[in-house]
Amino acid sequence: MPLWSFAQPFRRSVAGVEARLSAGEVQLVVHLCRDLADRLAEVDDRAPVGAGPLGRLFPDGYGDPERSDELRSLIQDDLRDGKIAAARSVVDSLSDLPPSRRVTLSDEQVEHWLTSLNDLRLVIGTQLGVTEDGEDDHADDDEDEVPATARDVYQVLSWLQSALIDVLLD
Amino acid sequence: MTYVTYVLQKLFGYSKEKATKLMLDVHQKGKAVVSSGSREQMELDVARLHAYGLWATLQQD
Repeated sequence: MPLWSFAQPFRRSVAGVEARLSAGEVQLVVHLCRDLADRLAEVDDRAPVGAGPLGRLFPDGYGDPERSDELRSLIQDDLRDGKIAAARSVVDSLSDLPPSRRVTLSDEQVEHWLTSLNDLRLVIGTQLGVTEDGEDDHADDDEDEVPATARDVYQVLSWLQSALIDVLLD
Repeated sequence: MTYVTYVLQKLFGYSKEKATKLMLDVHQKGKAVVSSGSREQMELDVARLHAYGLWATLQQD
């Protein structure tokens, strides 16, 4: 089962945006979003998430640690809950698909897709050492240490995100 | 990077040109001022940007 379909995964329809992913892409996105929602559920209401990959989703709001903590105590629970809701919404949108695997996403679901695709890219990209502008810091030195599958997954997520944005900006 | 452009347009109602310029500033200079105003309003904007996964921080002038 190919991971990449090379077809257009999204297109504009009268009712919204139609998603038509390959079976492999559906499986991948559902798995990753379920996993992300589970990991996010462990995030505390106000304690800093830390320097790990998940921490990238909860950055400091200020340069000053004290003010950052103060702001975190006000917004982190909503931020976390919003990201969990987005990931679950993506999973829901891909359940009970017809054999064609075509599904029309509402505007709200499209926002959830954008949120989760980007969150997943950030988490996996951080694990791979990809920097903000998409450059891979470690492309040369430790290629052998990074599982090829993680790189493939990152590429698929980037491709889906870019395809969805193209449809929205078209 | 079109994701950043899209989010800036969506959140702040910026034109495609303005959002693209800000995105390029972030890309080339490492940062850009995307919004300014009262502390309360800016904390809200930071929260909205974080919800989209954008690495926003609040700076007081």
